Amino acid sequence: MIRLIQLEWEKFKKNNVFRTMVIAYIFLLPALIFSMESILDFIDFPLKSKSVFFEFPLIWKFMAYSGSWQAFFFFGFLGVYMVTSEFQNRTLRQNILTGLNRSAFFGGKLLFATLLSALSTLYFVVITLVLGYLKSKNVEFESATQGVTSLSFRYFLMTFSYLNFGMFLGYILRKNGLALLLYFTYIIFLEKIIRWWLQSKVLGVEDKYNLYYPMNVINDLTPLPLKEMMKQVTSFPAQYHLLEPNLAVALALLWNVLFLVIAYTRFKKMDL
Amino acid sequence: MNVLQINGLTKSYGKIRAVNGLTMSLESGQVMGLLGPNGSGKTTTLGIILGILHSDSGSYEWFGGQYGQAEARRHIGAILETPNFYPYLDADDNLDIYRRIKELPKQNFDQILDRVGLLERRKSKFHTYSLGMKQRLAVAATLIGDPDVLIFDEPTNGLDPNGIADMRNIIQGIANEGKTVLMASHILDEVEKICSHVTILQKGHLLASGPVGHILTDNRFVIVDSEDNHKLKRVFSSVAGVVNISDKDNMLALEVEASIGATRVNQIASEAGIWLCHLEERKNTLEDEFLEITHKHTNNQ
Repeated sequence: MIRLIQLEWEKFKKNNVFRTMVIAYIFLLPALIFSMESILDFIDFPLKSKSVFFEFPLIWKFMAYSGSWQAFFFFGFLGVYMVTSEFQNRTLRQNILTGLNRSAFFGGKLLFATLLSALSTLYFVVITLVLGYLKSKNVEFESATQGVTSLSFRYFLMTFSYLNFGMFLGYILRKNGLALLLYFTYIIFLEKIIRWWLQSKVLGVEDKYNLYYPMNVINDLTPLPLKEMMKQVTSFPAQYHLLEPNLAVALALLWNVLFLVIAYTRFKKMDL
Repeated sequence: MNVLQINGLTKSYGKIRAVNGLTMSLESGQVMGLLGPNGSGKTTTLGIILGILHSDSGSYEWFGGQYGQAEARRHIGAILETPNFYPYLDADDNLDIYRRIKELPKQNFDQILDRVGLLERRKSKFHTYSLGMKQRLAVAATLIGDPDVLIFDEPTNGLDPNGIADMRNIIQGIANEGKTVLMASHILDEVEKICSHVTILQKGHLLASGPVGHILTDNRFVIVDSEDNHKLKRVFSSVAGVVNISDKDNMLALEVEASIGATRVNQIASEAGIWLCHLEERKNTLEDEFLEITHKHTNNQ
């Protein structure tokens, strides 16, 4: 297992795309929070309190939501790239004919994605703790970290899901440009078109089922803390459609397994 | 010892049958040329036995089945078509990745890189290499772990004359060490110079297989020309020991048995009152043989 992770690390540690994506995540995760703070100051929204977003416990959910955007962008990109670059450089072929079997190749990528997700989660926890302590006053460690274990797990699952979805498209499409295009198009437009137009308007399926789509499920693992935000807003009604956290976790696991099974089955059968 | 046994291998791409019931074997120490025109199924065959492509039917077995398939490949050094490396890594890093896949202990690649003449450029990134250098790095990668079996697919494709000469020397050197080599090529000269054995493929069929000396018959060619080649043809068609007469570049090519040489041909012509203006004796080359075998095969269909 460690051998396969090391192999992936050797392949990508000097790769500029990999380095850029990781550095961007490391830098932007804390930086975005500061910019949001400035935006809230600037737009003069009718809020009872602005600082509450940057204090414990709300900062956890706020950072997790901010992190989900970056995972969507950087780790999804990386997931696609980690697979398609091996197809396009034909190094996948050379890996196999040098003596790696297909399961080991697939497993190596999966383990590496898992490790990346775990490390990005660890970074998220550390940076949020630091920022939270800087912004909050007189906080006990216990109350500062309440509910963090389950949120961290959801954060990990969210990061892994974007990586996994990217890799899934990589295995299916093989071409970098095509897979990236579909990755971003599907998440930004396509799923929403299917959910809100095709399902309810064309097929006439009830709206309550439109929460179960894969990217919506992943999104609901670490959603914008609307409920908590609404309490800070003076005049907005509290209306939102979110999956219960545990249901989101269960569905996300299911989708991930499905993507893995399809990608693996196809990868085992394909001519390289 | 049997290194590779292929039985009834078949692979189609849509309606095109790239490999058609191929059966062949590779024995330890053989330097086997897999010869055939482009599209004859050489690369597809290599792709299947190296785990890249799936066959429709048939089977193959490496080393008498003593290893699993992936493990067997770790005992082989192989290049398939183009040299495939991580473009952003240098020679050392690239070789080290393949060293890891082969599950070998850490090693330095001085000797291997020296052998292919890349020692000075070892710290340059792969994408900065010329095609010749890329191909040489590919050969270097096959040498990791000093495997007993090596597979080369069109190793001189796209190289300039110097590159071709370098590549042939390297492969010749490897063959001279007693390694088992399987080399696909459409260049007859290359196979004739390097290989001890040859297997000829056309449209996925095996046409002939055996030692290069056996595929090359003892028959020779005597090329003749005169002012009246029709008469010349008539005269020689009745001479015992002349196996075949064909036209070649407006001259006649007489395929003759060992008992008939240029002197005898000249004598027969002059006795018939024909004066030759061209007389040339040469051995049947693999090229002649190849064309003859593929020609016969086409006629039989």
